[in-house]
Amino acid sequence: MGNDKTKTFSKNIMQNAARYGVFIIFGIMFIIFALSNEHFFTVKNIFLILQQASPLGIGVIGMTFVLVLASIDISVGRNMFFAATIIAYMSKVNLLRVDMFEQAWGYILVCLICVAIGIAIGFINGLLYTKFKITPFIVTLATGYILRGFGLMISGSASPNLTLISKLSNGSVANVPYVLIIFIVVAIIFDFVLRKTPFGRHLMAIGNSPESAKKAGIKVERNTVISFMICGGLGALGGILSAGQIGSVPLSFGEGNEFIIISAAVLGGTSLFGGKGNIIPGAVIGIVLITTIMNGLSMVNASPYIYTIVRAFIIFLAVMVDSIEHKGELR
Amino acid sequence: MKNKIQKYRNSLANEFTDNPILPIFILAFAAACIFVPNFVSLYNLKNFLLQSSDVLIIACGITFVVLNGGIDFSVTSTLTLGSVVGAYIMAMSPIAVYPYLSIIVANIVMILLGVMIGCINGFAVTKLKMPSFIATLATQLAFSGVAILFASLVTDKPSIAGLPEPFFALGGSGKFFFLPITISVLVWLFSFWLLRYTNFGRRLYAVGINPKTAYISGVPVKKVIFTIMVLSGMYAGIASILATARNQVGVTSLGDKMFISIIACVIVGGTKISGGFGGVKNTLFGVLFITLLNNTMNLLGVEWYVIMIEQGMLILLAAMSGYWLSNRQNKRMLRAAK
Amino acid sequence: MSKELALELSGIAKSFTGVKVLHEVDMQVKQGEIHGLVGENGAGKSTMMNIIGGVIDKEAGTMKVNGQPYEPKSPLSAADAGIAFVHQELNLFTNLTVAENMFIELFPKKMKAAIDYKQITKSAQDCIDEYELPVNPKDKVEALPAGVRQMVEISKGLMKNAKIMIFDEPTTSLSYREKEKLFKTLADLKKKGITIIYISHILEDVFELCDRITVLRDGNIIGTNKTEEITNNEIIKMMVGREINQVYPEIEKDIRDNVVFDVKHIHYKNKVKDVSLSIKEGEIVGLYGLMGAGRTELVKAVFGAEPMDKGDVYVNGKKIEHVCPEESIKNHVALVTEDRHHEGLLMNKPVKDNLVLVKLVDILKKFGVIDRSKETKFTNEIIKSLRIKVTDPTFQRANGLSGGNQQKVVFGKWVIKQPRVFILDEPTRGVDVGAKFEIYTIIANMAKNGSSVLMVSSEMEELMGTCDRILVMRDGCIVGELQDGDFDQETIAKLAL
Repeated sequence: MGNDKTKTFSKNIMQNAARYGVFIIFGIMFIIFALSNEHFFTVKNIFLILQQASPLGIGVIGMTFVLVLASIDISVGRNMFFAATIIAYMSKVNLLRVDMFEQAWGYILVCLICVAIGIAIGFINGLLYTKFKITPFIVTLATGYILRGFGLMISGSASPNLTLISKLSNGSVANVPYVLIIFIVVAIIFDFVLRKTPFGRHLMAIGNSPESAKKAGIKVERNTVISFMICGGLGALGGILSAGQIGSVPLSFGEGNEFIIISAAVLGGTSLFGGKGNIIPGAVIGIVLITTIMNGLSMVNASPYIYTIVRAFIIFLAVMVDSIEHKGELR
Repeated sequence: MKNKIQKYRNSLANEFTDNPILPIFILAFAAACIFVPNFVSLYNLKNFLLQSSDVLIIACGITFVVLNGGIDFSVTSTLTLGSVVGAYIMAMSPIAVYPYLSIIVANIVMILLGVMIGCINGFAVTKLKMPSFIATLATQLAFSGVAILFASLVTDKPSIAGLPEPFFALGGSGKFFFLPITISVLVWLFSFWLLRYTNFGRRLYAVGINPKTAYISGVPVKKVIFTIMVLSGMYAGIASILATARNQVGVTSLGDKMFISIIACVIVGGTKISGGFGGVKNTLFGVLFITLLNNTMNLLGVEWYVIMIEQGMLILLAAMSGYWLSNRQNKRMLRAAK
Repeated sequence: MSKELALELSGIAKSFTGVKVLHEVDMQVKQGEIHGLVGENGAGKSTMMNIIGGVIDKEAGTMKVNGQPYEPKSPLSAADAGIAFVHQELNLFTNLTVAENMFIELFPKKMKAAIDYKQITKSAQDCIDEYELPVNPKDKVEALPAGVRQMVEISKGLMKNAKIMIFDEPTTSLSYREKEKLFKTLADLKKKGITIIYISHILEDVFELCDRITVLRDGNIIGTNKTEEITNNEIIKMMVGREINQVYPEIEKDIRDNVVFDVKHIHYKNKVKDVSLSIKEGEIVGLYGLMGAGRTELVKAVFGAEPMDKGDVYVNGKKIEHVCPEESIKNHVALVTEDRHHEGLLMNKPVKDNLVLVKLVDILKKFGVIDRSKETKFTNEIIKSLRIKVTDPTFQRANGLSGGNQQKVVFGKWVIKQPRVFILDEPTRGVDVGAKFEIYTIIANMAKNGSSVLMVSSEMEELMGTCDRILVMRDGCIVGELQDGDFDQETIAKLAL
């Protein structure tokens, strides 16, 4: 009996050590950044980081729902691209006129359109997965490419202009960026959904044991499709805000965003293997950490080629921690 | 005599059922010959075969991984990294003055890079127990970044040119046009032989279908997974040689648009993404079909993004029909068992 | 008080892939009684309960609940009819709290959207207090030990306020104190007029709790008696006493003195507790026990299919350094697993591929190429000697065969290797009588030619008919050993229970 106890104790230390180890590594990096550039650790920069992190952060929240089911959605980045090109097109053909944006409702309209597009995409993803039993990463890989193709078709291989929502994407009230407010509001709402509604608990149950969930009368397929719809909808919303920050939709917009989003979610405590989801504080911490590193790299004038390598390194670390924690579990 | 004809008929029929893409390819090829201008030119057909060669090699490597129940996203980064490093060795390194030496060294290095990346993937999946799609996505990101970084360190230009002439033979220049095709056919034959006739091939399929059963039956599952990851990387290394030789420069955009095509080749060809079913024969016809589509679309002046959309849809279609077919088969079998 | 029966079954029949498991079963459960249901593994208890609970369909017969016809289409129909079923396997979500698990099927909501946590915490606490569970509503299930988890599962059922409750082996992980609490709870339920069906293999519990006991054997109801009118021994007799109509092959035994297979102090989690055994050359040793005794875990651990915590395995005196399937096979040990669907067969592959899977290493030519002619030769031989019914082994897939033939394929896969140590876990499960004889003959012949056999089975009769020695396992330990000649059904059953 004593043996069992000491074993689980040391197992716990090993599992947590991996996670804390990663945070320590990040901490060290921050210290290096702060020492290298006096502007890094300023209030202004911190708000800049938060503003940069918010759009993708919204995507992280959506992705959490899919990850909890032990699924994945790698079409999010291209989903963002597609939605952004649609909005840019609408503004080009004057479906969206500048005067609409003198009041709030223009911005609200844009956000609603994007969310609707994202929900539709998520619905298709979820349907293909549940009805045809195709693995999620193949489904979302394929839909991602299809969306990128359509996006390129609409934007005509140019980089369409998207300045009309820049007031929302780059503006702030009392020094607090609008996007940060939106991010926090979305985080609070969806954290509540995950933790305190039957829907959220059912998702956790499905991720933990799909057969028991079925026996308990939970509608597994329906809930799965809804999760993908949430992921798509929030992803598109984050996407339009992010594109608005840039001011246009560059050809490579959105490429690779899903990996930042997934890394952030996993770093924050959501498991790729399902059954574990953490929006507040997990997703928030995850995206802020990653954005901080990217920001720090630019502050120390790191070579632009380092970014991809660092991002890969972060994903690797995050998933490794997740795998180690998952190995030890009693499932 | 009659029996022989019957036998050939039967085996032909079997080919068609095992590889449903084959008849489609034949029809499409015929249609292309008739309707697509410039398709039947010698130049174009040469191109078609050369394009298929690189893709075939990588697709064979990925077929192994998919058969085993996994996926390897890192092959495009192997392609790219190999291309820039190899080009550097042949054009800019100290030994570049000795063309034949640098070619040999570069080739060896390019293959070794593939092996190295494969080892990293294998380690991540077997020792760190990471799911293969994330592990290989991470390596893909990492090594394409390394490739870009490396390229930026050695040159300001967008590509590394000045490769030695003899090297282009591997890309099918001039009268050596059959060389890359031969190489890819050899690689394909080897893969086919490996899968169908060896113990290793059987084990591969077994692990793809049910790793638990395979393990209890004495198959060293971890070793098998590790080996195929390395193989996939190695194949990508070989393909990198051919592709670089064909393009005659080392460039970091080499693998960009390829991945979706490669996956499409494997899935549309008939290999199941869940593992255990399919093979390199399927992939061969898949490669022919997809390359045909790409080739004809280029000739018709279709934009790349339309091709992207069409390949995405083909993958979904292939996966959906795979599901529908196996459903029918299961129902039939249940009825038979009763 | 209604004189109607709470539950009445008439002529319930059920088959699985051609093998009949329930033969026109009739059973009457009176209102407000605690009715015990006993029987060996495979007697059909779980099948019967699954039919009542709406989990599977019946083939024939009718059911009535409180005099009304009852045709459940799903577990929900059973719930609507007032029947609650506490399963043997736990259906808890380890990542959720106790309270959340209790209310997972129907969360009380406030403002139509949010879970009313106050209420579920309170209701969960009430339940916890009432049944004296050593948990808090906010504890996550993954932190709870197995016994407590089982109690939470039981409370889930109790909370449903059903009129008929079925408990399937509810005490397997419970401590003595926890069991006592459960019994008190059941007694309270009875006072409230709830009808209870109690399935257990622990006869002394059944006798303590139940008003009447029904015995099920081989899918037939043997009888129902009032507890006070029957003894423990008589129940055992009804459970196991069957006419021995299975003929076993009469093959000369040739047991030599040297020990071929020797395992010492095997520990595996808390399922196998310090087990040691040894088998001589030419000997057939049986391992009997009830479900949960740890037999499957033991054989998997000694073969290496699951990594044991501690223990040593010796084959012919040589220690196997790193016990894993590959090593065991190299040392001529074989394991026919219990679960052929998930661990024994490659279901979607042809029979031939399955049969030759382990033998492949022996029939290779240069460079690892498989010798096709040898492959065909060996597989055809095995198909013939086991009489596996398959039209074309090269193309017909394993999942296209009947259950019995599938079992023969798993068996054949290992027999092809002519192992020196042959471990079998329920080798004749789902196999018809004629085929069983063929399998017994092969086992006996293998022993005669010098192999050692360790056979795990829930069918006492087959062990008695084929083995030289029978070991009985209970709760992770070997509790008894009988020699051929001393074999006696009641003794064995008593040891196992």
